[in-house]
Order: sequence, then C-alpha cells, then structure tokens
Amino acid sequence: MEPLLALQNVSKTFRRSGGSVVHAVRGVDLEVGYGETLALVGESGSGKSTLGRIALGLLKPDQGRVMLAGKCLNELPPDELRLARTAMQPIFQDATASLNPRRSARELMAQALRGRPQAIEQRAIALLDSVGLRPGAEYLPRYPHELSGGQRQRLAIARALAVEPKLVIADEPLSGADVSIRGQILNLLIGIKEERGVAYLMITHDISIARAFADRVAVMMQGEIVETGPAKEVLSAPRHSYTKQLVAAVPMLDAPVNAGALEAGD
Amino acid sequence: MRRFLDRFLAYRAGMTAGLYVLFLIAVAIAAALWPGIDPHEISDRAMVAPSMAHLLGTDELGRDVLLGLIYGVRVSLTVGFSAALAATVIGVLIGAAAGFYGGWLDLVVMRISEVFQVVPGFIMAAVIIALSGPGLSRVVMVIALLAWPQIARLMRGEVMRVKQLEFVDAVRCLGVREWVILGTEVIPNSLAPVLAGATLIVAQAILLEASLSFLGLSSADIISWGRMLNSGQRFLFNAPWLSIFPGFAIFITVLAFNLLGDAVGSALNPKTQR
Amino acid sequence: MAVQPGNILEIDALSVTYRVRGKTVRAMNAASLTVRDGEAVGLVGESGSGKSTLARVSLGLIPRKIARIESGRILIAGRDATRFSETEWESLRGDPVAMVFQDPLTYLNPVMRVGPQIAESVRRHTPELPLDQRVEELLELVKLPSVVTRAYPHELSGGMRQRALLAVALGCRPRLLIADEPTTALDVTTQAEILALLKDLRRRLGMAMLLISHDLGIVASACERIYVMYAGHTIEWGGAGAVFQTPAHPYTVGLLRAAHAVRNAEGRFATIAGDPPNLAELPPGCPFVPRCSHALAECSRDMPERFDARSGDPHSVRCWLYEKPGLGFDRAGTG
Repeated sequence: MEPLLALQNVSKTFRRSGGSVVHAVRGVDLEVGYGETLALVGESGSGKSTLGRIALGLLKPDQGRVMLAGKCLNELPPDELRLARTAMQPIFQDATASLNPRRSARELMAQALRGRPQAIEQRAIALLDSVGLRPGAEYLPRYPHELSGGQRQRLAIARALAVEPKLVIADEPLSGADVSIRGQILNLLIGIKEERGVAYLMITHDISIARAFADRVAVMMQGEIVETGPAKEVLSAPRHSYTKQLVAAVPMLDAPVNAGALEAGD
Repeated sequence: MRRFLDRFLAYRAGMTAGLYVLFLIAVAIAAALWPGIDPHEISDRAMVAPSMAHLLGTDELGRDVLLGLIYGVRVSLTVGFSAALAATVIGVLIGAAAGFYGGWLDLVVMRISEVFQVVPGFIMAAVIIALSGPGLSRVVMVIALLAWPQIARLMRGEVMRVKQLEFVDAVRCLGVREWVILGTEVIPNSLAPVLAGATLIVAQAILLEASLSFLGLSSADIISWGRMLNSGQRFLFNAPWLSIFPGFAIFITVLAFNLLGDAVGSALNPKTQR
Repeated sequence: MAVQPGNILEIDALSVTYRVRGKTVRAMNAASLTVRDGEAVGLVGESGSGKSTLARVSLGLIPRKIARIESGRILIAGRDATRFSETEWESLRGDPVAMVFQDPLTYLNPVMRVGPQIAESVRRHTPELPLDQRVEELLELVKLPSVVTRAYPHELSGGMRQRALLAVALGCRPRLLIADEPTTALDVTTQAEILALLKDLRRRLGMAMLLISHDLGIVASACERIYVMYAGHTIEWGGAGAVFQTPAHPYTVGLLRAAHAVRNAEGRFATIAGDPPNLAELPPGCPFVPRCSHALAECSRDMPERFDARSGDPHSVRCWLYEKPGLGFDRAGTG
C-alpha cells in the first residue's frame, strides 16, 4: 500500500543576505503511513521545520517530490493543490501566532468549515466540545487573547480537525506549553487519532516525548535524516553516533517511587 | 482598543492636537449649518483693524477675516481628508499587492514610488494644476497622486511582515484562496501603521492646498486659507492681520495633524509599549 | 576573603505584587527559600509560579514603578535588603550575588566585543588583579577559546553566549550565582554542556547556586535541594532525593508524573487537570485547590504552615493532607 505522505529526495537551499548558502534539507526521503505517528526529531537548525513546511506545501523544494496519497503535489495546478493539501493540517508551536487575533472562535471555526453542508454553528460547537473546550457554545464568542495558552492550542487543533485531515503536521506543539498542560494536549492528540484515524508527523526536539508518543522516529541532523526506525528502539538503543549523543544529553528523571500519602489517603 | 486609547492619551501633545482637530471639524460643520451668513458679503468697512465688531479685522473689500477663516476650515479639511482617503485607498491596495505577491509587481511598484519620492511634489502639483486649471477636486486628485506612494511603502512593509505570520499559513492550509487571504487576513492586520501615515498626509494636503492657493492656483470664488494669504500679502505692511491670521491658522492646523499622526503611530507601535 | 559559612540568600515569607492595568497580580505569596553558602538549590515551577520574580527580587531587579514588596524579608549574606535603595542594591549585584539569564543576548552589550565586557566586570570588582591574566583565567574557566574576546555577542552560538555571560558573572567573584532558565533556549546537547560546566564551576569555586527552571530533569541532575513553587507559594521543599522520589504535595506528584512522559495502560500521558492559576484572581486558601483531586474543606480556607518529614530528613510540605497522622509528616514545631 502506498504511504499517505512520501517525501522523495527533497532538497532545499536558502541564500542568506550575506551571500552564504544554507543547505537546510539535503536529499531527504521520508514516508508517513495512514494512521501512523512519526516523530521527526533534531536540534535547532537541523532542517526539521523546513521539511515540515515543504510537506505542507508552504515551501517549494528546490528538488524532489512531495507525494500525498499517490498524487505529486509539485505537479498539481494551483487550484487543485489548494484543495488537495487540506488533507494535511498544521499545528504550530505558538498557538497565539497561529490564530488571527481579530477573529473570534466562531469566525475561526466558520472559516475552516466554510463550504460544508452541515450547519456550521453546530459543527463548530461539536468540534470545540471534542477538543475539550466545553461547553463549546460558550467558547464561540471568545477571542484568542481571552483564552489561556492551553485553550488556544485546543482551539487551533479544533480548527485543524474541521477540514477532516488525514495527516496532522505538528511543529513543536508543546514547546510553548507548561509541563502540566503538555499531557493534556498529547492525550487530546491520542484521542483524536483513536477516533478519527489521523496520522501525525510530529516535529520535536523533545526526545522523551518522541519516544512515548510516536510509532516511528526519524532523526535529522544538518539537513539529512541519519536514523529512522521504531521510536522506542531508536531512542532507547540508538545506533547512529549523533542519536546516541542526543539521547545521552537528555537529563533523565526517574519516576516518583511513591506518592505515599496520596495513595494511602484515597 | 482600550490599550490603544490608554497609550494614545499618554501622549499629551497628541491629545491636544486631537482635541483641536475635533474643534475644527465642529467649526466646519457649524459654518455649514449656520443660516444666513455670507462670508463673501462685502461691506464698506474695508481694511479695518481687529476690533470688537470684527475680531480679526476686515480685508480690502470689507469682508470679515474671522468669518473667512471659519469658512476656510471647510476647504482645508475637505481637501485634507479626501486627499488622504484617496491616497490611502490607492496606497493600501497597491502596497498590499506588492508586498503580498512580490516578484515583478513589487519591483515595478517600488520603482514608481521611488520616482515620486525624487520628484519635488509641490512643483509637480503646481505644474499639473497650472496645465489643467484650478478646482478643488483637481487639487485633491493631484495630492492623492503625489502621496499614495508613501502609504504604499508603509503598507508593503507591514504586509511583508504579516504575511509570514503563522496564522496566515494556517488559513492557507485550510484551502483558502490567496487573494482572499490577502483581503481577510493580511490587510486587516496591516492597517495600523498606515493609519498614522494617513494622518500625516492630511497635514501635507492642507499645506499643499494652501500653497497652491497662495500662488493663485485655485478658483477665486472659493474661500480658503491659502487664498486669503495670497490676497493679504499685498497689504502686509498696512494690514498685517490679513496675512498673520490665515498664516497662523495654517501653521497650527498642519502642526496639529503632524502631532496627531505621530501620536497615532506611537500608540499603535508595539515597540513603544511601556 | 574568608567566607563565613551561613545563608547567602534568605527569602522569608515574601509577598510581591504587581499593578498591571488596574489589576493586582500576586506574583509571590509568603514564599520562603534559603540558599546556604556553597550549596546548589533548585527552584522548580511552571509559568506564573513566581520563580522568576523570586530570582529578580533577590537582586533588587523588580520594576519599582509597578512592583511592591507587601510583606516578608530578603536577607543577602545576613543583611536585610528588603527596603534597599537602588544604590544599595548596586553594591550587592555581581558580588556577592550574580545572575545569568535565559537569553544572554539581552544582557550582553551588542556593540561591544566580548573581551572588554568581561574585563569591565573584572575591573569593577577586583581592580587589584592583573586584568588580562584574569580575563584569560575566566575564559578558561568557562571553557571558551581566547579568540572569543574579539568577537561580538551576535557572532557567537547560543551556548558560547551563555558561557560568555557566565564569564562576565564570574568576573564579579560571586558567592551565589542565580541562573534563571539558563539552558531553556539551547539545544539538548548544548544544554548538557552548560549544565556540566555549571557543576564544574561550583566544584572549583565553591560558589552557591540557585538554579531556576521549569524542567524537572535539569534541576534533578544539578541540585542538592529543591523548592517547588506554585502560584507564588513555595509548596514543597527538601533534599533532591526526597522531593523527587517521594513527592508529597499533590501538585509536585502530578508535575513529576507529567514530566516523566510515560503512557499508562490506556496509552495516556499523566496530566494535571485544569489551567495554570491566574495570579490576578487567586482563590483564598491553597491555590492548587481547583486542580486538586484530594482537596479537603480546609484547603479552600487557608494555606497551612509547613509539615516536616518525621524521618528527620529535610523535607517539608504545605498541604493540609499531611495533618492526618501516619503519613510521615508532622506539623512544624510539634514533631
């Protein structure tokens, strides 16, 4: 079976103002299967975000092809590309920046649901409910600045789900969130996957989250993918020297031995 | 909006200027609504110095200077606001398209706007009016023609900043057309600095209209501050009030719009947040 | 100078408020924290916990126009600095207390080469020492090559900038180094290098450190004692082993489980329900009540003083649950 998303020999070079050339992505091959969760890990400057933008069709690769469900996005005429790529939706690091500050939740949702037959208001409420903004009707008139950081990220996720994507490309969706909120967002993503069967391409620098969240992982360094494989395997027993270095650098935290009083007190 | 107001009010000069502009608008409206007073009315009390009967004196035909100034407000404001509005609409559309689509469109627009920056505006305006004949609507058009590149440059820069924000990409991924994105996402979020620029254009337009009238490049039957200055300067030594008061009105009004523009700009600029 | 062993920093039931757009934001609520000479103390908290305010107030760096110390005391090396003027604070900054920040670019002068910036700090605090030699020494200490002295801050990588800022701070010969999220902007590999460097510096210079971070892993690996802050309160503190292995406060327990990033039998991550606290609208009593599944009636009334571990290990918690006997904690002063 063909993969949902396939990047084939993709390269992208940026020219800096000083004239120097940055090879952000160099001949990358990457596949995401239907319903699969792939984590793309790497440090800043590894090219992982550039790769994500290329996959979303927001950036044209200098070379290589982006195949979505068997169709080559680079060869589609603009109008078809515009519609085809709605099968992929982004979730960004900074939910504040990814929501137009001048639009209420109602307007943001209506924009995503536009052109769909069902009653927009009801669909919007159902979606908000499903991402944990309950009751959804109460959130409709709110503007992004009236929500907390976690709620904003939920709203961004609800909007992405409105177009019923097959693949969600999440670029560091947790970096802006507090530790205590992180689990909420991750669980929401897991629940969405169980209900709707979406696939995830999660771009992250966080090794421990990649290990626990993803089925498969691809490790990126200086524009190239240096190691791929099952997430637990690669990030527990890495083979490439760079992955080893990366995994070793994460300060490890043992699980609390007990939460004595709390369990005893229940 | 409340934060904008708070910060705007923090600029004393800007607030004073704002109050003055409101006062001018009220005067212009009052003059239009007041029945039975004709500023063109000629009396036999010509060239009378300021007194209780004529607070700012009368001119060589016995017309009241204060009344003239009051009626002149209308001309100045009409010219100022219409020219700024026209320049803003043209500049916003062209600047937004250039900044958003880039490429050759951007190149062409930028070169054209540079041409306008190099050509001395006043001389160009004078030439055009002299060739096409006077008239308020012509003055407005000429000023708009000269001023739109300023707005376009402001708009272009802001659009280039806004178009790379994440929410634009997010909407793009929803399958929204590019020109819709420009109209509904990018332009509304790029207008703030343009507002300040438009206020400054009001000042430029008032000054330019006054200058053209002063040179006699306006119809004689319209009372305007520049026109009053033009006819008054012949009597600079025997009736200085004919020059001083219109000149002062122009000076204060242009200054007020400049201060207002600065205050609007600072209040809208997140970098000057305190 | 022989260093008297004692408390280099003592924050005693300190409350700080900010006036922001007509609202009173309670950034610190009777928070207490002590750093002894030579020890590494970790301060953990999420956004809005008050940990950065605590760092800043310890150097007199809170904006006087909008911030106010409502009650409590700050003692620096035994001196009460609570009501210090700006000039008095200046005499304490750098020596005995220096600070490094998350974003070194903000604190390094962008138009001045790195060398002179380090030299300036040396000149101000130890004018008696040979300048060039001392700068060389500091660079060696933070493991930067000497060519860096001729570079401008923007020419350096994130990790090197942090080292440069550390060199400036160490030029003051501080007895206490406050590091506020020093590695948050860095990649994991660079972060590991900086943490190793901090450890090495402490060992070589015998200086105390207050490491502030939202990342429990970092604090666990670098500190001997830990404080946990929530909504401006210090809610739990003690030895790193005690706090991390047998956390007592429901918030600490939840935070540790969440940070551990492991999925349970249903494939879900551990979370703490609800939203972070709004410091402008704190409920009375314990601020964690709205998110706490163990809350008792008294929790909404007031916050308890502390309960100390019966084992005698340094481990205290402010939570009414521990009033119940048999949980290994006693009300302070009764044990």
